[in-house]
Amino acid sequence: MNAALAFDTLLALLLLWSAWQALSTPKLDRAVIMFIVFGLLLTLVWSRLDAPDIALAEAALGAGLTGTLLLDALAAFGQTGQGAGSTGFMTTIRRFPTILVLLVLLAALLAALSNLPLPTVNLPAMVAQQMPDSGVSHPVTAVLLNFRGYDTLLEVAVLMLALLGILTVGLPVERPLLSRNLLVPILARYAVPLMTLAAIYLLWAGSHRPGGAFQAAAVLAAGVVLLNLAQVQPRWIPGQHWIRQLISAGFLLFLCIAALLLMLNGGLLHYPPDQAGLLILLIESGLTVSLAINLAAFYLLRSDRPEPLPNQEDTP
Amino acid sequence: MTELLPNPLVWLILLPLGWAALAFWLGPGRGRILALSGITLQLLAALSLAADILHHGTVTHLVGGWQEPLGILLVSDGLSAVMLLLTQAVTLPVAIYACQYLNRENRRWFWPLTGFLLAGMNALYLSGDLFNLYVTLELIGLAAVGLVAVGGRSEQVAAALRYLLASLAGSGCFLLGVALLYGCYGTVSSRLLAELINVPTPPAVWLAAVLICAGLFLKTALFPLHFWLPPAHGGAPAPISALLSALVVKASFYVLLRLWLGPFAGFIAPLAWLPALLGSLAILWGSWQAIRADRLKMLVAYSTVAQLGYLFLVFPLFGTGSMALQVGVLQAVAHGLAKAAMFLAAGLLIKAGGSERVAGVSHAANQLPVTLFAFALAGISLMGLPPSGGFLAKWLLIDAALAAGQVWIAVVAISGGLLASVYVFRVLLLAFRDTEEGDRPRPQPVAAGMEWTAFTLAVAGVGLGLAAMPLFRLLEGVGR
Amino acid sequence: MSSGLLFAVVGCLLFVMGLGGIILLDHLLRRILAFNLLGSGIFLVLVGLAQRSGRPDPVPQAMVLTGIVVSVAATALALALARRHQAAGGNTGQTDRTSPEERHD
Repeated sequence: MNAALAFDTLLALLLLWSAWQALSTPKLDRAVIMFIVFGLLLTLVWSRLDAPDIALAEAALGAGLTGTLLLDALAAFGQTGQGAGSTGFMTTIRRFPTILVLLVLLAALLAALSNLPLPTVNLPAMVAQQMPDSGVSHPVTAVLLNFRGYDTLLEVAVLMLALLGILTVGLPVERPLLSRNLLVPILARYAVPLMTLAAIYLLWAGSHRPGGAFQAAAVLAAGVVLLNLAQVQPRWIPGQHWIRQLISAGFLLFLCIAALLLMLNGGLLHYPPDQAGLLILLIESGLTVSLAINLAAFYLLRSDRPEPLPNQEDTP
Repeated sequence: MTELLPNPLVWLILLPLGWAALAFWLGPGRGRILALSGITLQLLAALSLAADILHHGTVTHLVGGWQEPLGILLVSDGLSAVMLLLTQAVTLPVAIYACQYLNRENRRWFWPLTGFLLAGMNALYLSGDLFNLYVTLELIGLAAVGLVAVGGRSEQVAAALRYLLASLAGSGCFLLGVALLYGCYGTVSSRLLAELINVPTPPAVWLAAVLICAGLFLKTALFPLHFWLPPAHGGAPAPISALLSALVVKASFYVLLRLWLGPFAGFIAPLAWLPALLGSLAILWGSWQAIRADRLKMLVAYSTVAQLGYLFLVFPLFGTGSMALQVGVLQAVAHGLAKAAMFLAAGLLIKAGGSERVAGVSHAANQLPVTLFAFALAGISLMGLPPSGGFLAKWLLIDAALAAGQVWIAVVAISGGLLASVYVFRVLLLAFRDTEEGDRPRPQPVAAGMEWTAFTLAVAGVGLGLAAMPLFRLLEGVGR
Repeated sequence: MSSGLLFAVVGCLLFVMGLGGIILLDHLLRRILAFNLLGSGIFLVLVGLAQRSGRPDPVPQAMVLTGIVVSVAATALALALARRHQAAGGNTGQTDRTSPEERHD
């Protein structure tokens, strides 16, 4: 067992430990903190797996933004996770079969994993072969924005959908910060311009290095959230139209380019090879702005009504 | 017809994405005209696509021009065309109904949500790539959850939460299955996988199939994984319940069919008794709960649980040279039309009568004859009485089951029809009874246009039984 | 055992933990945490299996990027619903599954 594998094993054990802690620790705030630790450990794992793009996204989105949203929700739930926790609906009698089934599933998974056939299709070689025609020189960006760009189109729609759902359900009320931390405004003043620069760099670098629209958007969103925490940027209210318009603008740009290419080239998202790089950069720029606002809106969008529950009519 | 609208395949996906995003841009409550014109164009595109397929066979489109397995393939054969037609054809009347039915608060984000829901469903029916299918399933799931939460009452929020968690667990299982398949074969293209998977199947592929099917069973609310459906469909506003029961649950069923007859066809047949058994239990349990239900929309929602069971009865009948696929699809289409009509009618009865309870139907019945007639026609299809689409589906099912020697399936089908008649007649008899003395809420007026949309759907459901030949022609040569 | 396969095994464990958490845990916030663990587990299996022979594969990496974005979206929606449920007086320990069938109000 060489050193690399030993390190990986240690990392794996820490990962599993933090995950278990997140699920089982009785205090809710500790659970969320352990989840953030899990996210940061996972970032390390992605680096070990030669996946720097995922590591960037996991740090910014998985640990960063999700952690922020969870901590914010924690404040709404109250610190204690007790309540009716101990007398749940799943009585002991019903728990056992479920745990049994899950253990059988785990055993089946491990057995399957020990007996995998070797794949016959060599997709990485195909990617490398076609990459000169894709307009970018980083394989993950080529797959994400060109070869499988259709998935990306749908995924941007998923993000917009989540925001629509949140708007439908109702926004939380603005909560004043309980403590004034002098460090945060200073941090914000220095960090946010740097983060903006980093985001622009990530966007541009994505064509030949790890990076791209999603990572850039995540960093920008984090900067906006930091400004809000430093009380420099007030909360957003639904009445501000520019939020909706900028979010839909990036998606509509992507869609229009797709439709134009369909009508001119006869193929959905069929980039002409010599303009592919330019088109991809254009799409990514639009996406960076609108995804950043979309992600930040998950945290920053608050209700402009004084009471948290709007009066609902009773008709179904 | 291709000259009029080239690539109808792609426009079926781009159009709803476009008008949904534009409706979002415009703001809360806006987007009605965009939506109605968009859905009409989509219906025309679906008809054009169906005509293409009748003349030229399967239509495909390589996204980005990249060959599989590098790129994603969009493919439409007769089965996809039928589901696409059903989706657009049901959504149009429901959308017209929703214009007048929903109050201002409920209508705030209804159009963008519905647009994305449609985009997700159309994209699902056209997808030939397993990971792309996962993304479309998530698109549909989140849109449906958003729609369930419209209205904002606490039961609806609870129902939406339950639905979301169940949906995420389901798509999680699906994605793990896809991950295992990629690990074994290096591709997620369903066409290539169908060629590569052959006996003897490695255990990882078995496990992947089990996981994928489990996830899809959960999304199609197959007993006993149906727990999320009644509160979600029974609590939402009527047009939303119609979309959910008629269309959304059919999407995951379609994926199951595709995989069962495609990549999994070589090895999964021995397991076919499981969905059939669970389907039978669904029919019995769902019908029983519908008979006992106190609220009208819960009755209709439990009826959905029962009727979905019929879809799973066809699985043991594949591969025997029978019309099992045609039966399953016909049942799905007939149920879609009938259930949409029933929910729309129920919504009107509740709105006019002022009461959500089944007993409250009597208040509004004499005021809304068209609506009641629509409800009755829909009920006829659900019961399986001639000459409706439901009758044709059940008759062919019984025929195929007896031919394959699976008598128990025929027995279950007949019992299901009898049970359905109990809860349908329960409503109809109450409708024709005079109310007792005591507080009778004043009937509220209901716009006539809404009644006719419900009626149109119900008539279509019955007409399907008389004019099913085009459907069968489209389905020729699909699957075994 | 390569590191790819090792982390794929870890991914399976996380998947089962996450699934168990969604089904068995009571508090809504914990179920959302469990869902995120479920997702991370699946992503580890996806990339770990594809890279078990040691060479990096950009296609599952792109898929995982897509998956992370979808996870964040779903988490945000779930949190908004849970927060609203809590504010409406619903007990966060009871996203009951049995009561709709028992309750025939």
